[in-house]
Amino acid sequence: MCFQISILNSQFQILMSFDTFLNLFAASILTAGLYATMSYGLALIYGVMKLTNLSHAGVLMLAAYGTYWLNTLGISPYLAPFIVVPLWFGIGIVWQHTLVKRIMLMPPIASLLFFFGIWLIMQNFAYLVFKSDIRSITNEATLLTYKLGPLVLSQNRLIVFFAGITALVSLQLFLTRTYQGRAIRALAADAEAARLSGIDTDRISALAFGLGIALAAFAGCLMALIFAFDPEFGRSHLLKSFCIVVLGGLESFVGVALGAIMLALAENFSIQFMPAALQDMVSFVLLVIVLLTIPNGLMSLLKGKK
Amino acid sequence: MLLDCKNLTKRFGGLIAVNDVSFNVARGEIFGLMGPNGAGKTTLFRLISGVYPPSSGTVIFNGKNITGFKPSAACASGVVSTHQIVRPFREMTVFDNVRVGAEFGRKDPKHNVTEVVNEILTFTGLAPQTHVVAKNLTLPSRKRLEVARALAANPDLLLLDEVGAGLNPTETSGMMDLIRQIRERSVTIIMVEHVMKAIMGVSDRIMVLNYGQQIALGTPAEVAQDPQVIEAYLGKQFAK
Amino acid sequence: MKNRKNLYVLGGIALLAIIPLIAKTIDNGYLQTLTFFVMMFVSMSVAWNIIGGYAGQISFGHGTFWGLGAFTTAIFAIRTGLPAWLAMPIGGLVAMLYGMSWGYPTLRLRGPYFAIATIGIGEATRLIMLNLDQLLKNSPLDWLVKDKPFTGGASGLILPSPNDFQANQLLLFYICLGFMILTIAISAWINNSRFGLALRAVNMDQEAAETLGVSASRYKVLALMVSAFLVGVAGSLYAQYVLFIDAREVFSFSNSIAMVLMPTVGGIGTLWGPALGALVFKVADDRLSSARFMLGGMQINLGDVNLMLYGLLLVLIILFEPGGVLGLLKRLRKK
Repeated sequence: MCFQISILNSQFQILMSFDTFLNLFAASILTAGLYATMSYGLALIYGVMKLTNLSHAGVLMLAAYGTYWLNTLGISPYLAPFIVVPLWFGIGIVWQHTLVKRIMLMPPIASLLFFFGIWLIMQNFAYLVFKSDIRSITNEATLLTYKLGPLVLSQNRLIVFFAGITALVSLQLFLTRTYQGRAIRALAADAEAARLSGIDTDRISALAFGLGIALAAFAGCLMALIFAFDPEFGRSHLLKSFCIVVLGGLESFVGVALGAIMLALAENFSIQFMPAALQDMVSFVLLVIVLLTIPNGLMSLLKGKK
Repeated sequence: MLLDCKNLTKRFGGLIAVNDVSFNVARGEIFGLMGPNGAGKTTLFRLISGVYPPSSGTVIFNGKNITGFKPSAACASGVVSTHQIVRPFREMTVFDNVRVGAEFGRKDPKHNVTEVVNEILTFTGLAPQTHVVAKNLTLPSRKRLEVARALAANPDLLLLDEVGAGLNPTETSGMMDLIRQIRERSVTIIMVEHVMKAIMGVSDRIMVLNYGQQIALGTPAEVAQDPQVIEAYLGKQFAK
Repeated sequence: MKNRKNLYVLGGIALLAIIPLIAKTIDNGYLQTLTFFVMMFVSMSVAWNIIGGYAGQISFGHGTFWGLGAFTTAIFAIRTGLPAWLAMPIGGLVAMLYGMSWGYPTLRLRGPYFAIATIGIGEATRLIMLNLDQLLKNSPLDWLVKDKPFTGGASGLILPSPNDFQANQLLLFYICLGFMILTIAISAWINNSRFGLALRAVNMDQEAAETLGVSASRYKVLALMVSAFLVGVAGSLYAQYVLFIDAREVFSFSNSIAMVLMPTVGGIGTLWGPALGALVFKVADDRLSSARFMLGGMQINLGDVNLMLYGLLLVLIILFEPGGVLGLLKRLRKK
């Protein structure tokens, strides 16, 4: 964090030292790990069920609050995911079986409005319980940094990065090595074919939805370690997730990782040229540019070259 | 030649759905397209009607290169397709469904839209259901609506994707009669059909695809005796 | 039948037109202000419905157009010294062009691109408007902020006050009435026209519509432009009525939420549903926002749980009555 502050002072200074460049680059990679985790939750649900889960933003936010609340009870924020994530996985499964199953049969407009409604409820819940103050978790580890040559790395960001990567790798293993995982992928590729080959689509959809929500919750827990948040938290990250998914394409794991790195780089380096207050705009501008130039995402460029 | 497709290829990622297919269709012809499931028939239709751009190859229609045209532009040139799974505008009446084709397809300046719609509803036998909301139609009527709507767009070339699927024999033969009558209106037709008897009976020529490749092209009688076709449909042991 | 409907419409207009005359005697003019806002929200709801209902492209960011209309008007009035109402079409135009700039890339594609982008646009625009003065300083456009603020940042903009405040409010009331009638007329025209047929076809099945010759993206962008223009004009009216605006407030998410909610409550994609929804929403909001009730010994202000109520309303409508109030009425009448 400390290097970002020094940059703020020289808003319009375009030249940067090599050290700054290196630090920005490292920070981008670390952020990308978190971004990829967060986006994969959205991509999984869209890929398998063709639903745009707007309540993604609410799950991120409430998971962050969950971590915060557990912290006030004396439970370490590093352990909070072990409680918060399974809880959200369960909520996801229940949702799918009760409400979302019905929504899937309706036109897309209905699912957008439905999830938007759920998100509003979540936001208001947070306002009621936690009020509108900006919260953050600080402990002795928050400011701990490691020096590695010219690099200054914050411990929490490193933890977040590795936790995110671990989650994604295990998910990838699950999707490729287990029956359920392969069934999820089959469902995403062709729902009709999956049904015909005897996959219990209801159960597998529920699993995918639960996993998508759980991933969002995990990302939310991680965010609580490094960001400040309020009930509005999550909206800009919903857009970021979507931007990454559009950049990377829905079907590919590598694509999401690439998209996450692109967005993180764009965000971190743009602070060099514009006020930090506008940072949340970067994802929006990037999204519009990508849609104008490469609407099929980065992977289409790679594939096109062959 | 009304339609001339040269070396059409479509890849999806690593999968080749249509592989180097060339053929042409004469004006006024009924051209059948056959092949097992996943042979690339629907994909080929979508390349011609512009839903997908081909990975390589060209589509020449009426002497004009329409390769990679958007569906709406292909429609304006005179190529209209129906959909394998019927896709009526569910909440619209039958009349409005057909009106979409008449309003946005190739306009025939001699007739006004309402006249065109009513004429086509009568022609396809849908006149009694004019004001029924599309989602309440029975399957045979929906299939007819799919055809009627496409016909309202005033095509030179009509791509019919399994308009007989799911129909009983009587309904199927009714549909084949309708297709013959459409030809009388000087509309050229390419049709995909699974009901072997139906497609053999109505087509002038037939092309057979398997794994995205053309394996036979000729009159129904020629195609029926082609060993490769027999193999593709019935398995190796039946082929000579 | 048709005659009776026309009679209702004319009666409604006449009723609205006499409200300023009786408002003073009833409650010191509050009714006039409330009616002004109801009419403004009816216009916004009906305008949103053109892209959200007819074309089926949900926008969660229409508040942006409203805010731009308001700011354009304020800046115009402050900078030119001309009467603010002259800026109404300009406000609409600015909103329309802004909508086009990001609507075109997102509407060109099938899928939720547009809807998601609209979630970001409000936030992005608010950030720009809050920081614009800061950004312009020391830039080639420095002259814009040299002697007076451009957007005013967090402290907002005050419009020049009219000579006769009362007369101005009255004038605005009738302009707003006329504007509402115009908006509903445009919506009705679209509903019955070839344009509306294209939008509904694209909404129900874009691919099928395209194979029949409908150029989907063109019509969707056109629908967004009309919608954004009208909402921009509504924003302009707002700025003239309240005479003070700031970016934090006019670009707040709540207006965007309202514009999603009102048509959905009334009956999305219909002509009169959005108008009905706006009436219900605005009147209920006015009556209930100060209400409070006890829950388990805790006093809860209804204003504190309004998002929850909105969210619940959306979820319930989607699950049980996607046709909204209008759909419900129709179903009851059939029985």
